[in-house]
Amino acid sequence: MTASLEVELTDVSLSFAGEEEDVKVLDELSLAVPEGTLVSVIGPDGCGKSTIAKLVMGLVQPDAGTVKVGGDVVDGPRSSVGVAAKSPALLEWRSLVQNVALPLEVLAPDMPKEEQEERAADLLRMVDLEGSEEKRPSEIPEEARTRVALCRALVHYPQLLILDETFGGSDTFAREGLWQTMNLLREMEPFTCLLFTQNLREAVFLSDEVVILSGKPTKSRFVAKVVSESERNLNFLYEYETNKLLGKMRRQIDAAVFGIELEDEEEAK
Amino acid sequence: MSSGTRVVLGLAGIAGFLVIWELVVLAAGWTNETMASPIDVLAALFGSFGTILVAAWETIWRVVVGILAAVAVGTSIGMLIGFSNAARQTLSPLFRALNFVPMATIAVAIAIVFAGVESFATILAAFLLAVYPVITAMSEGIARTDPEMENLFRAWGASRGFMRRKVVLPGALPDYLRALKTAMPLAFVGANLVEIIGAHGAGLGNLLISGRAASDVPLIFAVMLVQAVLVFLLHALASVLHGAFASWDSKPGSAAADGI
Repeated sequence: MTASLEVELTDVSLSFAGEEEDVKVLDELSLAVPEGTLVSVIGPDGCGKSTIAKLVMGLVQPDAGTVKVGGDVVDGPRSSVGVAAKSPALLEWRSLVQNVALPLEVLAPDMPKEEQEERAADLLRMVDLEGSEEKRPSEIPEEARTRVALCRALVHYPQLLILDETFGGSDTFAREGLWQTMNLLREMEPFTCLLFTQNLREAVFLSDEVVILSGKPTKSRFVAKVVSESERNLNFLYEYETNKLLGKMRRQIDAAVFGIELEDEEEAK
Repeated sequence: MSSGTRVVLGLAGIAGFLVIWELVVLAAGWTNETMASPIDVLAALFGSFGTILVAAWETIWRVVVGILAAVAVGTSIGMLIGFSNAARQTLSPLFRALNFVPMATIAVAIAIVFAGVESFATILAAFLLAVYPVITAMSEGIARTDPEMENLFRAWGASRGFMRRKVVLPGALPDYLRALKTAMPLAFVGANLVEIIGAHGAGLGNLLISGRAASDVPLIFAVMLVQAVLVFLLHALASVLHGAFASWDSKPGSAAADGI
């Protein structure tokens, strides 16, 4: 078993039942996340980001096209996937370490409780929450709760991590801290990551590749490769080349919002 | 302000109220047929202590049986509504409509319909007044489950039963226990109303009726005092349950916020 899995959406179409007629959300959309990389998917509200997330999680099936994870067609939830959503969704009656260990109770019920909590505590240590293991979610700040949710998403060694606007709730500086935490976790634990976000800087800082969705229904995408020779630190965000890329992405978003069809292009720094 | 000062001020407020009450009754020269002073009430309480105790027991055991029934039935119906969409659509309009019937009227109707079977009527009234908050708290607590949490559990491939056990029911627990603080005193109100209206010769409500017949105001006030103590005890019991089973609950109305 490889430590990370590739994701491949091929010509995926999906409609939801609306009030009068079906609403098509995705129209023959293709998207690929190479093994071991982090790909961000950006798009305006309502472009189907959460729908794509649910497709990859196996919670929703496409009307047409295929969704593959690690080469296998996704036909239902699978334990190789870890998820963190917009709200941390932690259980107040459980301590932080018990919250992080929760997926193991479903996915590894035979694992002794001490081992489950040991693994959870290891992750909490990685995200600088050592000493807070026994606290309750309401006793730590919002940004720390997001870090706990990240730990919970990774506790069962998933080969694919899906982050659906996970860093959205935090203020700017806390958010930058979370990005650094995220890069640290990627160094420690091998996984492919699919990040859905509305924040361009976040996408550029964290990703190997950024995909901008456009069209209504969502059909085309603009792919920008992010290359950086040096270590990804926050200075990277303020370099000239990075900002040129951000500007280009920004124009793509405008095009997506106003429905202008732009050519599919690949951009390398 | 220190907690000692707060206690002293609180007690001073009560003492001041009692003193003014005593003085007003004394100054007005009211007899026991018109109004009772605190000292009269205490005298009546100790004078008729045996009678009051018997009546209190007659009331409280019926109230407790009514509460137990309300918890059992209310929890089941609440879960049914919470977990089954069909049950929700079928039962919610009915319960919403029933909620508009004034509670005192329910007790009056029961007292008349079930005249002659006093224990049953008293328990039924206690049950009916207490069951509604239990049903509502249970079903709404279940309905309030975070949809993102549900998605997470589905993504892990967790069974419905696992999710209910680990997330839905524990999440509904604080509201449920909070509802008991409303339901338990309400059961007491229901039982007392039937005792008063049914005039079937048992319980504290009946003692109020005899107090009225004899124009014994101190007795009526003494019974009122005992009722207040019993309602306080029921509320305290609900608070203890809340503190024991949902100590993590930090919302207002929780054990921590109540200071009990």
